[in-house]
Amino acid sequence: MIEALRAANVSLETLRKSATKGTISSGERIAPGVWIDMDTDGGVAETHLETGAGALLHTRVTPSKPGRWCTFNIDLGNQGWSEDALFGVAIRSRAPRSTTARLAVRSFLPGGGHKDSFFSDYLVSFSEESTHCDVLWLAREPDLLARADWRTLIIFLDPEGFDIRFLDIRLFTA
Amino acid sequence: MKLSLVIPVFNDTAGLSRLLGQIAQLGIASEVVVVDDGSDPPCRASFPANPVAGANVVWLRTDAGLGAGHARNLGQAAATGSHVLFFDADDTLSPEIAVLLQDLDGLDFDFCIFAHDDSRLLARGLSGPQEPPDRAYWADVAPGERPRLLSPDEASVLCRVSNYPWNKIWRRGFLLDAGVRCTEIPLHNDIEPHWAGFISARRIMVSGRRCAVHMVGTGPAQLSARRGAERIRLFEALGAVISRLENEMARDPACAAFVGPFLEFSCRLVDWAQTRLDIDEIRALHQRSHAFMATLAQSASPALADAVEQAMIDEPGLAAQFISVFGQVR
Repeated sequence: MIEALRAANVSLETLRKSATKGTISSGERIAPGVWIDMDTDGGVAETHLETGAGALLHTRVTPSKPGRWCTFNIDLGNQGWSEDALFGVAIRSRAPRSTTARLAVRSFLPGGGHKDSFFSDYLVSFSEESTHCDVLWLAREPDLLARADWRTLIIFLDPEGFDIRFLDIRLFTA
Repeated sequence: MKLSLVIPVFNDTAGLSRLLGQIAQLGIASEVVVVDDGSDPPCRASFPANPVAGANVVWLRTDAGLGAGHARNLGQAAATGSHVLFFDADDTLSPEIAVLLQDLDGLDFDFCIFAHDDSRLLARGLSGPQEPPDRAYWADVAPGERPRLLSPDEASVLCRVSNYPWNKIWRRGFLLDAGVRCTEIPLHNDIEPHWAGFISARRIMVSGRRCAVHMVGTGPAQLSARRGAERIRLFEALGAVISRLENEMARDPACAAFVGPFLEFSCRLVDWAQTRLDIDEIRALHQRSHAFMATLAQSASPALADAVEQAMIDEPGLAAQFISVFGQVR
């Protein structure tokens, strides 16, 4: 898992150092292994985003009609987790209008389909900078110990619209 | 009906424990969103993983302590049920709420306002709300136990009751579509959703079932006993309501029926607030109130605006003056 995690953190580091502004379509890579997925049937085709300006990523979506999902995704690769006790995320964020998000690791199964392992705490972003930190104890998450073709960290953003500034995201294992 | 209960809490583990126990016993919620507004220690640590059997409990927390308005907005954003009931950790539910929810199931409404009891009256063996005007407004509308739609005339009466956040069951889609939310200020954050609901809703229901008990303590923690300049921020809430009134009146002139009640409410609130301010703060309050009243009167009619302009005097009794002016011009 260490290599996959290193790759994910390198991608986040790329974002941290970049300074871009514009719109991006669903599925289009923001950095290697980092992208936003949107329910394009719901009337949203792209999201506004900005990197730099003191933030890892500032993203906002104002859908004309709410879709069914909108997710921020970070690839975690296909390496095993068996040597680790936990997988954790630390996120600093801020949002002009309070918003919440759930986080999960999605495991894509060899036979098809996927299973989501949800972190217990909700990410809460509001007008002041705040830090969210949560871990998945792998011994309690059999889906994470089972073999998977691929795993992705998913942040489920509000499909009814959001404006959130991710100041930093760090992934770690122990 | 899938009901989400949204509960802001701050350092009241005992109250929250009592309320979660009631929710479990009554079996009324499919989801409970508890928003810990910076309690120390965090409330969640005092509860088992799933404290309400049969309901999904979502725990949210901000360390910053941004107030009940912010907490309710946060809870609303996380709620997923078809309907939402905001409830306070220090108040209690009555079994009547379960019957009301059954009656409401399948009905089409934007929100349903229900009656309540007050702990101060219950202690004297009496029922209903504490404030005499509230008792009069409820008596005017005379709702039965079964929920029914309010007529526009009745809505312009019942909107005058105290703006509690916990006596309404909202359709979540209405909250989202109409942008109904609390003002994120330390006090008076519940003015906006109350008035926004009455102004923007097209299908308001009412039930005389007393579904909650408002628990009022007498100690220093009582919110209404708090003093200080933060009360002056009440104009942020009043201003938000005026903006909504103007927008809705442009769309539906019948909404002008709420101008009078809101003017009266605002005057009484300003009068009441100045009893909890120091002299310098009162001056600031008067400056803000004059500007506010002029804006509100202008939105109603030029004649009212002129009358209000002439009536502005820096003395207590603002409410009586403006209500009198409004009555003459109307």
